[in-house]
Amino acid sequence: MLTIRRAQRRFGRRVIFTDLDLDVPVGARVFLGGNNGSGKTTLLRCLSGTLTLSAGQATVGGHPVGSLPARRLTGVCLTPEQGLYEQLSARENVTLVARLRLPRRAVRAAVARVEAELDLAGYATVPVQRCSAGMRARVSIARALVAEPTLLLLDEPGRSLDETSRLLLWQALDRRPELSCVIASHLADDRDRCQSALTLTATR
Amino acid sequence: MTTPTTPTASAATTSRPVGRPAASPVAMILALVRRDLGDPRQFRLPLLLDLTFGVVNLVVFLFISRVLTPSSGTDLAHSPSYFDFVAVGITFLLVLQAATTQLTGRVIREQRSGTLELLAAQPVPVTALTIGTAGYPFLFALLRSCVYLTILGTVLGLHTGRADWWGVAVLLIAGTASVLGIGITLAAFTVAVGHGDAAARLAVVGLTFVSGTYFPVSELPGPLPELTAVLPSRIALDGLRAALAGGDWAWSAGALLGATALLLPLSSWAFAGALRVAAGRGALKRD
Repeated sequence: MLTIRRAQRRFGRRVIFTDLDLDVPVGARVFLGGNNGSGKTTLLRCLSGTLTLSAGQATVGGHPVGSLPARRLTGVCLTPEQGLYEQLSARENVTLVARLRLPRRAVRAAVARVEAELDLAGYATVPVQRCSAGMRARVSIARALVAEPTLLLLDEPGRSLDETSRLLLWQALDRRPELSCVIASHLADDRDRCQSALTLTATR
Repeated sequence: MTTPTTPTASAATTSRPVGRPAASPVAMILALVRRDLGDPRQFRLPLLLDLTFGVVNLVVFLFISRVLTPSSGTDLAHSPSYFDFVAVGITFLLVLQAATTQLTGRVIREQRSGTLELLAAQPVPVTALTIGTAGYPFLFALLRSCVYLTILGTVLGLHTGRADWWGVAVLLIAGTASVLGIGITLAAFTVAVGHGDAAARLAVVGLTFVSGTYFPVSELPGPLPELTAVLPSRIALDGLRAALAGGDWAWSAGALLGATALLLPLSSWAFAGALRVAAGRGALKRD
């Protein structure tokens, strides 16, 4: 599903990662570990197509990352507490992405499904700016899942979530056995739930 | 240097069909416009304050036109008085502001909040993204111009007895669409380089100066009156004044539609390039 070959990203002279190879088969979960500043978020941004690789290549389902077909296959949750439309409600934020990705007739059911899965119902109509960090993280995760992507990129999804919410997240992922995931995290529990791991080391 | 330290799962290249049902570009554009209409911050108090600002502006020029009179022989481009001339100029200036500064302001907010990065990660063609993002400023600019013309005609004494309202409507729509091309280009500059707010203000002042907003372009020095004839803002102003005076506006409308057909694809292309530049620099999200 996801293939990375000799990938490198640098900012100016600072190399964030280099010569990176990775294969993520259909349904596999890869834990992305490493200390703060090691490049986990940078790598996820490169895989989502919002940051280009300085060298090498990455493909999703055989399509170059960042291309329209690759973006169609990829669900993205970067910095889960941010990147939301503050004045819109949780439901409106999720619906926007559903409308951008799904046929009109499929939108309502898809939104209702992820709302139920991540238990958003209690605050679905509240503007996101009034939600706690954990609530916002759940909205971001729901938004990434709503169009049933085949590759999911999650950047520290559990850092603001309580135990119950983390369980909801993993249950949602378990319901999608064909979903491939790359999950950046510092949590041991997240590591245990993944089949393999990639640890990045910070530049000195 | 950062390197992977743990080998991962074995290779398995699987390409799931991408041809599964997806949203149409029109649905994407509508979704982006509905997003803005669902954000009350965009159009309640700011809209009221904005309209008040415009009306005060018009009243100021009403009094100025009572005190100052243009020298005899000044070509007021179909307008029966200086106030009629400048009122149309200010109305379209406010349209120009909405289509440029509001659009760049929107992109700046999206870049800071991280929502531009979110949108860039969605399977939305750039044309749909630009039109969807410009949709609300376009509607807002049209609304503003309609309100101002209504107030001008009913309260402030603008001469509308010979106005061709179909012409006014066509020119407002075509004029707004054409200056949106300028707005999208400024938004592209904002994404790629930053400082879009300053660039937008500069563009508005520059276009205002050379398009005949406050004074006839015939007063401009050197070859400027001829050179500025190609500017959509000037064509729109000349056409609007002609339509309000019952003159011929068809040429202006045709020229504006042509400018729109040229500027919108070009500005969309520029915006796509700006997204690529920003993705290369890591600037889709700016703090």
